[in-house]
Amino acid sequence: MKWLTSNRGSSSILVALVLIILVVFGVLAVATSSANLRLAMKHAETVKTYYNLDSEGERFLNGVYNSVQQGREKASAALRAITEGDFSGAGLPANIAEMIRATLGSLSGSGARQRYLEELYPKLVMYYAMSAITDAYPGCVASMAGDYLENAHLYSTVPVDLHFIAGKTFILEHEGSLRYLNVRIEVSDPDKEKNLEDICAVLEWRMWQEPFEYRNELDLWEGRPE
Amino acid sequence: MVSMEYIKGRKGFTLIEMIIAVALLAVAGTVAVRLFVHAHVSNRLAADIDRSVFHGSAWIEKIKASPEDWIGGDPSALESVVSVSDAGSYVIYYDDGWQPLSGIRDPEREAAYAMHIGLYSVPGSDGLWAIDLRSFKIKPYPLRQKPYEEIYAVSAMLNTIGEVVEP
Repeated sequence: MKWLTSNRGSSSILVALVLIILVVFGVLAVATSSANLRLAMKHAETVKTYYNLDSEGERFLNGVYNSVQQGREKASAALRAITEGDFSGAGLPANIAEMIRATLGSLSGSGARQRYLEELYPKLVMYYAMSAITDAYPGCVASMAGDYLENAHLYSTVPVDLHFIAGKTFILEHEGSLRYLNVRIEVSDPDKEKNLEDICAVLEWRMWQEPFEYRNELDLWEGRPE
Repeated sequence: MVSMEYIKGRKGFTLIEMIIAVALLAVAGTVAVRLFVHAHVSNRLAADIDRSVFHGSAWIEKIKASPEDWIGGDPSALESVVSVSDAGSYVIYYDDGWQPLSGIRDPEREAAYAMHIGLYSVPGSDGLWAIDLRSFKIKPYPLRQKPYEEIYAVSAMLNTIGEVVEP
């Protein structure tokens, strides 16, 4: 029992213990900070994925804008050609050009012809815009109010509700889960006076992630005290 | 004079034992110090990434909200913290606490972080612009001899299609 009461070497033991504790705490600090760093990097990657998806959506929106603009330019050129009697120069399918020629021929008076041509302009814009969008993004036109050139709209002089919806879902994989962006753009009433932002309205710009974990363990308070 | 018998008979540590003990303690101490420095650097880097993400997203949203101030405009007239480094290239400097700095002359000395924003027109897409944002730590972190280290980089896009003149 004599060795227990001796103080010899106790300071060395104390120093060794302090060092061991320092190393242990150091390891714990490194583990915590590494976890913090991983979390920060994960958050940064999530934000990057968000902007990557958002960029794809912006690219699609830009494609729709440019298609409508292209549609307006082509429609103006086609109308000029039609006015000059050059139906082949309008760049329309032969059967449609023939229908327009027949309709114009059946109208009597320059006023009626002028009205018909004015109402033909937005239909041509929609036709060219939809063709350009479908070429760039096949299958993206989700719905449309009729085919603007190949049905009775072509002969009608009554204003019709011209609109179609272009929609696309973009998918990116991020850390084992899929992130989606759903974009739906409504193109309507391509009036000459309107700017593109008014013609192309963003109906939906929704981002979500799968698998989506939803827990309904907590009852929602409905705002009425018991 | 102390007799040799007394010295030989006395219990204690030899010089070799002392050297080994001190060396072990020094190694353990160095390891502990390095661990703490490493933890400090990782924590600092994590905080810097978080701040970069926060400030970066705020700038991207600001540009997307008013692209006309940035593309063909002069954002430094509206935001005093923005320095124009080149056409379509902007820099925002921050201090150690991530407070934006304005009117600084020597960023290497006065600033701790720099956020570079580049705006480029996307080729082949009329009216589509890319925003390239990168944040840097100007002075190196401890244990990393790398000045101007990139902390975070993100890119986004925006549309600038406005009023259309009918042909």
